[in-house]
Parts: sequence; C-alpha cells; structure tokens
Amino acid sequence: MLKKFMKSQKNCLYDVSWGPVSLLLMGAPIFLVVLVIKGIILVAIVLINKACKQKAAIPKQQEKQKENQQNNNL
Amino acid sequence: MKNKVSLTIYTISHMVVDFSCFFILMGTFSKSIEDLMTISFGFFTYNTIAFGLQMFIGYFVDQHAIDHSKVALGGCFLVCLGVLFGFCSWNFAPWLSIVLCALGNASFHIGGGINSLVYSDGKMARGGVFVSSGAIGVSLGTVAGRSGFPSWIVIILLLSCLGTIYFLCSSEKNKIIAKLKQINISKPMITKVSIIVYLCLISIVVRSFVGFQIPILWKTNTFLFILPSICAFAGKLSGGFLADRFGAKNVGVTSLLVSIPFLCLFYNNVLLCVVGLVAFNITMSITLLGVAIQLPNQPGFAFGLTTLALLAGNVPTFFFILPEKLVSIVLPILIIISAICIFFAIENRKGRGYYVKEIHEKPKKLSL
Repeated sequence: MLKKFMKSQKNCLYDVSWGPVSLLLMGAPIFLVVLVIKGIILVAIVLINKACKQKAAIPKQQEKQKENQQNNNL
Repeated sequence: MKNKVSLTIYTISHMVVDFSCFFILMGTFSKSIEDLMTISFGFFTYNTIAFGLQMFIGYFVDQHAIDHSKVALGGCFLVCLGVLFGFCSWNFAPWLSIVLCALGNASFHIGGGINSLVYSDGKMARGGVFVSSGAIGVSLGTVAGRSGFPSWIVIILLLSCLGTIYFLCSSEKNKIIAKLKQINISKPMITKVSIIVYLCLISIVVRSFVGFQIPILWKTNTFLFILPSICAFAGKLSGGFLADRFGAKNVGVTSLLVSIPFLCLFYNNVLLCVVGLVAFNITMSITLLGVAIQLPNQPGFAFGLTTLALLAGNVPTFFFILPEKLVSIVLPILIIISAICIFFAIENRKGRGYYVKEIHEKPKKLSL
C-alpha cells in the first residue's frame, strides 16, 4: 500500500521532498540527522546570545577594515 | 542602490547555483537511485547540510574576516565539483555529488548574503533582490533535471559565474553592516536585541512550515509547476522595495494578513492562490534585515541564522502533512503568530529604509 502511494507520488509532478514521504520508516539515519539538527539549533541559541552581547566589531574585521581604508586612500 | 554590479552578479549566480544543485538532485541523484525512501533521505540530507551549516560557515567567515567574494567563489567551485561527480559511475558518486552541492550552496549563500547585507545601506530591497532569484533557480533546475538537460551547459554556467565574481566582485571588501543611526520617528516596541532576533526567526520558521504545508494540488503541468516559484520570486523581490517605501512593519503585517484567506480558503483556485503566495513571501526581506541589523558585525552569522530557521520549519514537513480539513484552521493561526512577531520586532521607517543615516549633525560649539 505504501509502495503504491509512493509510486503515485513519483508519477505526478509533486516534489518528492515536499510530499508526505514516510521518512520515519528509514529509522536510524533519519533519527541521527534530526538529532544533528536539534544540536545545531541548540548551538545557534548559544551563539545568538553571545552575538547579541558583543557590541564592538570583531578584532580581525577592524584590522582588515583599516587596511581597506588605507589601500583606498593610497 | 549602491554596488549594483555585484548585486546583479550575485543574484544571477544565486539562480545558477540553485539551478545546478536541483539539476543534480532531480536529475543525476534521483535517476541513479530507485528506492524512493533513499531519494527522500538524500533530499533531507541535502537540506540539512545546505541550510543547517550556513550558520557555522557565516560565523567562521565573520570571525576570520574573510572576503565575501572568496566564500562565494569557494561555493561555486564546490557546486561545480558536485556536478562533475554526477558524471561518475561509482556507487557513492551520487551521494558525494549532493554533499558537495549542498556544501557549495551553503558557502555561496553566505558570500552573496554578506554582500547583500553590508551594502544594503539600511534598506531591505537589496536582500530581497539577492534571495529572490533562488526560487526560480530551484524550479528551473527541477524541470531541467527531470528532462535530461545537458550537464556541460550547467558546468559552463557555473564557470561563467566563477569568472564574473572573481573579476568584478573581489574589489568589494566591506565586512560590517555600516553603522546607521536611528531617527526617532517611532520607538521600537521591543528593545532587547535577542528578543527581536528570536521573533524574526519564529516568523521565518512559520513562513517555511506554512509554505510547505499549503496543499497546492494544481501543479499539473510544467508551467503550473513553476508558477509557485515565480510567485515566491515576485513576493521576495517586491517585498524589500515595498517595505522601504511604505514601512517595514506596515508591509510585513498587512501582507501576511492579506495572504490568509487566499492561502487557507482559496488554495484550489490558481489565480487566488497565486495572489496569496506573492503576499505571503513579501516578509522575507523584512525578516532578513530585521535579524541582520541587530547583529551588524556578523552579517554572515545573521544570514546563516535565517536559513537555519528555514530548515527548522522545513523538517516537520518531511514527516507529516496537514490533513486538508485542518489547513483552514492551523495555517491562519500560524500566519497570525508570524504577523504578531513582525509587529513587535520590526520598526516602521517609511520611505527612508529600515534605519537611516543621520545626515544632519549638530554643529560643534566653537571655544574661543
């Protein structure tokens, strides 16, 4: 039944990635990727809080910005 | 608008890069693997790498002050390699091909995204123009991949993008969104930076989720298949200009509320659904600059955050799709939540961009 449904999805122009593809049946690999995404989101939250507190430009950016200005002046 | 040449090059290259990636996904990858679930897993992996890693790439680029042109060139090169691997007959070649394409796509977006933000001059139009072309690239790439478009043309297109970015965009080296002072036309409703960022990101998550859950069943021929992408393109492109002209908050909230009946009640009607899709995509450039302006020293990281939010909204659509009965109840609620987020997070700066440069400085007192 599932295979029939999948075939019908492939035959119509409906995008494979957008449809109700039963990825849950894939088991472990999917579970791992979802865990990775959750990890990325957690890291993002930490980095957002860090970035919001940082008001001055990053030192390397300041150096390069000065170099650019000097080059432009020359 | 400043630096129009680089914007034009990055916008066209964006379309070519997305075209190439979907050409590989829908052509080489989908055709070489028979099992539909494996294909779906391939798409899932591609999305995770392409959208999830942009935040890390952007953060690294900001911290090491790497030129945006170098990042974009690296991205184009990786996608080119990915397309070349599509020719190989090894068993793992299709997987290597999509991983390279996803990595290249992520790098290119960060390079182009930084350029679109640092030269935005406080206006939303530039970000909207750069991002909009991706939608067309995705749908054309899908059609080309399915129809057996010759791969060598894709490689020539990518090499042309590499050449033009190298020769015409390398001289632009700004890395920070210019400091723009606010003119107090109206005070923002929320002043805490992190809350504004989260509200904008919630709005993006909702846009991504709702965009994938709308039951567009009328995509029965090639033109109708491309039509939603054209709507997304039109909405994203016009959104920035409208926001700069009429005020970001006004345009963002109004467009979302207008899209509700068209998307949730009349989604079976092609014309009405098209109107809804255009209105729904208008908020893209507003939320992008809404996040970026709060993190002016980290444009790459800010751009990456918005794509991570897109991924977060996209992941659930791989596992379930809303039953048609619930569409008219759940989607309006979500769109209203998105509108509320924009209402509180975004300021109105009619006709003068989101933040505007302070032109009239106070005359200094002369001491005798």
